[in-house]
Amino acid sequence: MFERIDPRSPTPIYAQIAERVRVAVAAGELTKGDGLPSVRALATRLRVNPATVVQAYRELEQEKLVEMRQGAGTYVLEMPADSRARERQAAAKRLVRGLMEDAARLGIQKEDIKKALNGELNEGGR
Amino acid sequence: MSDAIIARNVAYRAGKEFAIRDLAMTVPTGSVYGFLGPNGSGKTTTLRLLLGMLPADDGAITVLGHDVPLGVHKALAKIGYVPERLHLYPTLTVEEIMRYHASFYPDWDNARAENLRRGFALRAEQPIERLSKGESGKLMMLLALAHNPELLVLDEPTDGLDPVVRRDVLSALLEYVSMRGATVLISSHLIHEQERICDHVGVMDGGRLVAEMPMTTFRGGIKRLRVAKGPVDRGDFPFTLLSRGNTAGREEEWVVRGWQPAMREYFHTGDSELREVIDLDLEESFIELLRSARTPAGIAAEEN
Amino acid sequence: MFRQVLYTQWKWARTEMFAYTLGAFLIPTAILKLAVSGLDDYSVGSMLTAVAAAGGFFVFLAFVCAIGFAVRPYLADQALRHVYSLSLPVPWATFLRYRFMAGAILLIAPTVAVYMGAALATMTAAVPSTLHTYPFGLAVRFYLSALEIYAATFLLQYVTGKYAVRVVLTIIGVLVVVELGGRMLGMSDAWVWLWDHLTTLPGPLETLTARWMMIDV
Repeated sequence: MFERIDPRSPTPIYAQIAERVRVAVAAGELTKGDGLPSVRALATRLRVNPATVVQAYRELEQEKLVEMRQGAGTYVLEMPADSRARERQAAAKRLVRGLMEDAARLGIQKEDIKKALNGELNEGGR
Repeated sequence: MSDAIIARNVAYRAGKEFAIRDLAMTVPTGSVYGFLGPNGSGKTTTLRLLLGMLPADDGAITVLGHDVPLGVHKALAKIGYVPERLHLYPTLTVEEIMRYHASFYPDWDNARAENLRRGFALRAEQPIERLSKGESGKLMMLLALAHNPELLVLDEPTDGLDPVVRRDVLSALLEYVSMRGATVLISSHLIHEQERICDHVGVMDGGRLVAEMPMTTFRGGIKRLRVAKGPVDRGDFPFTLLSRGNTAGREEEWVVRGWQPAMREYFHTGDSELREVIDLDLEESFIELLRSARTPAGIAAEEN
Repeated sequence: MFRQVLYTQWKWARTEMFAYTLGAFLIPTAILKLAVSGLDDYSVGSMLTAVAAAGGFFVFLAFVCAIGFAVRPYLADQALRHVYSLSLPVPWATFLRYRFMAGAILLIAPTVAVYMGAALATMTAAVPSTLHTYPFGLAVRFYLSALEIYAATFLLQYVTGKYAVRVVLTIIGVLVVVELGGRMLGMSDAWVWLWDHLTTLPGPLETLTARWMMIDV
């Protein structure tokens, strides 16, 4: 889940970590009561500043996605089905926005994007 | 909470030239402070000055509340130091150096030391001269961490180590920092590593600290702009222009400091077009900063 | 802290210590036997001459031990540019005190060996009834002389550090100047004269040059 966190990316590391957790919860990989790695374990594993991990977990806590229990670790809170669907939609929106920014930078028109998207979707059959 | 390290006006002369001058440095308590700079910029000398191993010719240094060099040995009891080169007696064994080291530090934690030794796969009866570079690096980190220090001063701790050892050494360091909340001053030219773990940056060049700020400010502050038909410099740029050059055709590449998104408006006058705002990673920010710090235009900008 | 400093210095000096101890134990007997066997008569005077000749060994040993124990730890630190010692949480003066005391304690081992070696030598020699044996006195003199040389070497290293070689050369230079100056004033060996005066005055240098007698009146 936390592979290839990119410190060079303009997205701050804490935001990347938080995003991975959000997506995992939305996809059902993490459910209520599941424990996230401890700050110490994750900071050590990713070789990042522990304050960064704390910042990610706090952000998730503010979104009511997780709960940081003093001395016991961080646990995923209940996420109702419709919230999960909303989260997936929000994630999809973020993906598309990124795609459109890239397209704008390369000067690719919206029509070309639509054509390419439909083509890929049909081919994938998903 | 006062700062872990404070240096003001420090100067040091080696031979006829001043190796360090006008050094002002503040390492906040609990921070992981990355000390960057090209080779020969004076990083190792600065660390030695901060720890009282070299006598400063001028200025004031305070480490963990103690004056350097007058009370530095009291501070050293709470400092874990990893120097650039192996500094341990070659004919002693791992076990012997651990016992020697432990005798000087009242807060030595034998259980932690043993755990680290086993975790690093260091054999107790192995003489230090027979350790590989990776094993010596691990041993030095072990000795620095085992006595529960408040401050870690690390001079290129992972330089020359293979990726596996580097990961082991960094993990041990970060695990300790998470647990203890210690302050870390780490000098390294491995910028991508610094980028992951540091929340403060100090950039050294030519014996001076040319920039010091939180990591997010440092990275966020410098941007590269792709500009078409760039406007003439009327001296009223809302940002600091560090450099400007042609890339292809009428397109230019500008490197600026102090960029805010609202400054896009500036390019809406006349023919010019701002095509893209590019974030720089730490390495690129560092290179641009040095480049501008060394040119007269950059120095003028520095003084703003 | 001190115990560990002592342990490390002992570990570094282990081999030499063994050699000195063995030598101090066996060599006096051998030398004395050799000196006595070369005598034409067994008069008291000849015996004393023989013993005086054998005494040179002890001076030599004192120099070797003292310089060895002083220089070895310094070189170990110097090879590492003293970084480790400077980074330890003890004041520099305290650390030097530990180093000094450790060496002074290590010198006790060859001293004890000298005592036993001299005792052995005098027991196996045929001592005329008018003479007495002084192994204990000899051992005490050995320790004091060795300690002097040790202290001088120790100070020289740490005070002058990398300039030690230059300092020694300067001293030799001074002696040369004294000799030349003496010649100009008509004295044939000025520096010998100076040396004699310095060493016959009661004091540290006298112990080194006075006679080292295992057996004496």
